[in-house]
Amino acid sequence: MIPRMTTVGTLKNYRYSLNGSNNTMTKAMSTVLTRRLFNSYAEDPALATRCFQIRNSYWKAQSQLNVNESLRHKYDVAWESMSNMSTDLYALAEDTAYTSVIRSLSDPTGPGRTALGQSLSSKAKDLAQIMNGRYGENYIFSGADTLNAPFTWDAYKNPAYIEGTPDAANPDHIAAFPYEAAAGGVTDVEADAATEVLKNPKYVDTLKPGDEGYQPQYLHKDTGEPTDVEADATVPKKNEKYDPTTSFKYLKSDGTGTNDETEAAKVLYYRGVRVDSNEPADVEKMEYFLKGESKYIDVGLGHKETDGEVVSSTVFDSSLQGIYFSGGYGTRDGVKVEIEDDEGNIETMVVDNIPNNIISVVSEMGEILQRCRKDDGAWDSKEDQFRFKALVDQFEKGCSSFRERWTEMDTQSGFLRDNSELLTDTKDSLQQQYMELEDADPAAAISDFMFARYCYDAALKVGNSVLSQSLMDYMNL
Amino acid sequence: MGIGTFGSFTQARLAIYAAQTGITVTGNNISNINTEGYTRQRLNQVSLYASGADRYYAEGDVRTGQGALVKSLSQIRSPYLDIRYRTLNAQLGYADGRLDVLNEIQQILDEVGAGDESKGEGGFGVLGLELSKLAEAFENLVDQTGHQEYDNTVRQIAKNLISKFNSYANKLEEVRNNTVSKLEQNVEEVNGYLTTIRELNEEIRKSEIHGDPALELRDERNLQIDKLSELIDIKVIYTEEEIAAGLKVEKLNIYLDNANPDTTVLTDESLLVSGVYGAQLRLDQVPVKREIDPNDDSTWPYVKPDGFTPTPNRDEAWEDADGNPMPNPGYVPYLTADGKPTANLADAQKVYDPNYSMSITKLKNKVGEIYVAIEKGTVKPVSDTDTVDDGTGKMVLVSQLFTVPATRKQDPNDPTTLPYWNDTDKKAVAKKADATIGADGKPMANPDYQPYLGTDGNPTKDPDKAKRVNDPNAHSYTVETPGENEGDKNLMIYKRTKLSNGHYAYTRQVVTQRVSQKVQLDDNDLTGKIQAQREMLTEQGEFTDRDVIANVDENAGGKRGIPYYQRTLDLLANQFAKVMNEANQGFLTDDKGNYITKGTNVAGEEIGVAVTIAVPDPGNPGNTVDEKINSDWEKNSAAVQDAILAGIGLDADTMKAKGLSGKNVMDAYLKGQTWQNGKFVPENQEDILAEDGTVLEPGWGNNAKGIFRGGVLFSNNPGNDDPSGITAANISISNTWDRTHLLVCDYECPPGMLEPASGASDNIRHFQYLVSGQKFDFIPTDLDGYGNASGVPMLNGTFFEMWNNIGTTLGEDQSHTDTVLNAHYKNLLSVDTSRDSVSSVDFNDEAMNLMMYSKSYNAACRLMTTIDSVLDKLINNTGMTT
Repeated sequence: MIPRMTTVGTLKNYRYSLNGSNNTMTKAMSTVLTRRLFNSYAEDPALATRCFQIRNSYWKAQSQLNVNESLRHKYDVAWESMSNMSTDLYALAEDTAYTSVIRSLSDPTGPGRTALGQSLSSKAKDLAQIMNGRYGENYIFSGADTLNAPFTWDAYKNPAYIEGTPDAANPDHIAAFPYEAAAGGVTDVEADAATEVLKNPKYVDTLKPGDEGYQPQYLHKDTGEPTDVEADATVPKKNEKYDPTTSFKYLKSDGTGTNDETEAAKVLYYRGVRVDSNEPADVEKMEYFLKGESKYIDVGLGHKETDGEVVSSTVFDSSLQGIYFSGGYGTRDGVKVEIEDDEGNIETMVVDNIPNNIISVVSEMGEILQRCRKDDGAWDSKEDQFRFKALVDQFEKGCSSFRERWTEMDTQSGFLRDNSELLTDTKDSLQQQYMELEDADPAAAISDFMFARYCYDAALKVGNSVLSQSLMDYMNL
Repeated sequence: MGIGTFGSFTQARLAIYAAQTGITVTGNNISNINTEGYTRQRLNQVSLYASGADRYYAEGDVRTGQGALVKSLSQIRSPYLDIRYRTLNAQLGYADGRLDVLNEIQQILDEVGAGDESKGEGGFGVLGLELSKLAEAFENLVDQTGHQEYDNTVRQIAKNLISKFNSYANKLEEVRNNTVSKLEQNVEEVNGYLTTIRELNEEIRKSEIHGDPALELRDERNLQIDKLSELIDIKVIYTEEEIAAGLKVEKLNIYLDNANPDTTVLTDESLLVSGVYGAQLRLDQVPVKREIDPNDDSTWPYVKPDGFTPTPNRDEAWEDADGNPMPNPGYVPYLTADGKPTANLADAQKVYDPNYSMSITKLKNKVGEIYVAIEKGTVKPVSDTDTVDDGTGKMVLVSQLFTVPATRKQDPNDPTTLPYWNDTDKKAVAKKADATIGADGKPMANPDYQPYLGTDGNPTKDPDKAKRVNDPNAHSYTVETPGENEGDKNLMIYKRTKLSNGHYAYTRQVVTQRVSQKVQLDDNDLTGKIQAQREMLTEQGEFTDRDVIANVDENAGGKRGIPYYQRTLDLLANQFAKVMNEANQGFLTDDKGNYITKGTNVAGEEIGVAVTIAVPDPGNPGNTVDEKINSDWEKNSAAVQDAILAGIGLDADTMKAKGLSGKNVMDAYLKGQTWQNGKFVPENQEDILAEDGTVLEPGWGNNAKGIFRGGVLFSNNPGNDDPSGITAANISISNTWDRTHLLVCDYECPPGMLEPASGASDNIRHFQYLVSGQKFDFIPTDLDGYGNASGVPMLNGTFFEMWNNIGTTLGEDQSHTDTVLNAHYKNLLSVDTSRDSVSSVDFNDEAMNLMMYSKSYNAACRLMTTIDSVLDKLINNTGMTT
């Protein structure tokens, strides 16, 4: 049966359809105005979710790019510092006075050595200063200790210093006691000390008194003369580990102790650790700075943690250790040095405590040169001459090592530059992706709106017709 | 008989009257075309025909109709379409109610288009963006550790983030409160409709009795029913009610429409309106109960088996013979509106039941009389030899129900047959008038009176011992027994009819009278807008208690209302705070990961030395050696692990059962805590002091074995550092973090040192990873108070992904509901159009009617003129010659 379409029913249908048409037009208008394909999760939950995820990735990439750029600038500054240092080192290597010294180590060239010594000492300070350079408010070469200057010239702290009254029973305090105690252990009371007899090294037990070449068995404890009286040769037994400086906080240049900081020698420290120290505790710290310490930053390498530990390959270690770039720490013993004199004779000496760090090397070279005689430039001692030679060798090695490490930094800097480009591309790509997903095509959006409006206008016109026409209008009773 | 001479005038008059009425009805239809709920009316007219045979009639005469008679007005409605419309309307109301609330939630949680585009936020995200900003701030802080401006930036962004959490939680609570108000209004609306319908029933009933069909009242009633059907699902049934012999009027009944899928539940078919009786819908209220206070035995509900010692534990309660716990006589369970304890339920403050349970009141009429439903069974024949209960518990033959005790005739000579006593004459008398009036004002009874004839033929006073004889006037006997509820009656009505042979035929009819009772509705008894609002107020999705899913609604785990979104946001805030707080508290380690404490070297300088613990020396039985404790639990030897557990009074089984991590127990050991009553004590770092400064409870801070760093970043109140019970509404920057720089940048110290390097930032990097990269299991049971909810993770993802998931879930819910709503709306429109095609006014129809009745009117007038003309001829011109 054909349904009976009534005026009321027609109006209700029309109202619903007109409302629908208006809704469609409003949505089309909203798309044009917001330029977005959807304006709530409900309109397209899957698409909205994806867009949020991509935007989150975009924000992350943007953040990584910002940090990467900051790091890149830090590395640029670091590279510049290394460049300055390199310039200083090369300038030194090519300095006339320096070359003349190293060319004629055995032939003093006069007062120039002292001046050169002053220049080298100053240069060492400059090098340390360069390594103390900052980017922003952070020290570049201090590893993770970015708020503190890495290199300092501080009073030489006595590693043997014992605070308070030494305790003979404490194994750590043994060096404070001069004698071995008769009861075992150590003591500073001579009466309590164990004794030993000073033996005459020239004594031959097969010779008897009166024999030719006979020498008494002992040496007199006061005069050092040979004697056969054992009592005269009996002395308290010395503690081999005894160090007379244990009561001094600092050491002077000559190795003696002092409690006055101003009298102490100034030596190079890296983050509170003496650079030229071979003390186990200092070595442990230096090893940690070089190998254990890191300052990881997420620069978009897939930052990940496993069991609470960061996976190092997914982050960038931004810590730059000045001690590494300046040649390391500690000293070397047993360095064999040969010097040929003017007559072609080669003299050999083994020297100890040659620093590995190039700043220490330059500094000590300066000190040695400054010890030369002012008038003729003669070496203060033969040891100084050989030591200087060893330092020159170490300086050249250090320069070579410095260049390698500078190249290494350049590689890291290059990585950051490349990464910056990569992150920029990633960011742009993500932006492109979410724009493709979110953004309405303006032509399509405007066309849709125009069509919706056309439909709405048509619906309005239809409504006018619906309301205006009925049989009533044609009645003529 | 034909029509009389002037009868034709009547015929024309009736025709004019019918046409005029038709025009009036048409006019009424046209007038009401815009009246909501108006049903078009139709004039019912019949041809007037005088029936019956005339004794004297002329042959050749024919019977003709005597005109048109207006019989009645009627409405045109389709009950089937009404049923469909109302069913669909309830479904539409349900979808509309849900979508209404979801749209409000969307205004809060949907961040599409939110955010300041001018700040490069792209109009996408607020809270989500704050999470990203926080991660970025941490990333910047990694690079700039130790600089307070970056530290402040982190704190400020964290503040922004939690202000969003707080704001969203507050707005959600506002939506919840608004929805409660809407529910209250809708319940009131339902009750208004029910009252109006009941009153209209009464008016229509009165009109019907007086012969008026009351069409306009019916329109109004239908309109009210239509509106009611949007709020609750109803079933409308029309029956007839006999109000007098042979006079029946229509009776309208409205029931709930069997919405509960559980077929064993019958409350979903409860009666709401029956004729002039109507019920009301009620939102149940419950008294506010006091929490059990371990220090106040008036909050303890039970007593122990000694009969007088109160106990809060059901397990310790003394039980009666039925296994019920014995109540504590001193139990004061309720709180009054002003927060005072009370044992009187009537004085207790009442709040809505958390489930927003509903009930239907007793049906009452206008004057408050309670409705009694009468169900009449079929009248069935009964054999006279059947034995039945006579109502006293005695089984008798059916015929005996219609008997009376045999009485003796009064004999003036036999005082035992005379009922009264004359005390003056000291004798029994037959008439009341002759009796002496006693002290009680009544005629005195004859003490020897024996009115009955016993079964043994002797007189007797006891009617039960009397012989039974047929009562010729008895035709009906009713046995009444109480029904299921108070006031209910079950009637067994026996009737007998005397047959022509002098015997009787017996019948029995069961009649049940049920007094209307309050009906407690089941959780799923309703649908429509009210049910949608109830569900949006109560449904917690994955946070639903497992007992509720098992016993109340097995689908509850998939239904998500406002509480679901509140709890999900709470879970996100809680998990966020928990993770960040944990990451910001710990003990310093050396470069190998061993916990350190303060020591000195020979030079008297403070240095970091490893924390050690004494363990049995395997090479020297009976002695111990000190071993270091590594921050990685697994890197510690079994001996170290055992020693740590022993040190805090815990064992490996308890550790596992309580879900304690290695870090938890190592932290406790380093704090010097011990495991007591399910927690580590002392809990506080600082001493708790009395007003006079004495230590009430020492904190662990002074006894820690390691060097503790950090503290609580997020607390449940800006004025404290308490991280317990954090929700989206209360999450705050802790008091300490607000005042100081509390972020721990790193826990690892260089060898021999007591502090991490000044720019060390591994913990900051860890924070950044936690905020942006770490995936977590978001498990409903992790939220305080939801231990019996689903233990299955809602999501394994980052904080941002969890936030995004909330939007996705909401979007899916909204999208689905919107689709359903549109479908229902279209269906409803289609049905409504069909209804309109039957019942509504159409201009064309009415124009046709106008024309029709107009022509009829004209024709009737013409008829009148014609008759007048004819009669004029007959009367005035007959016999006249020209």
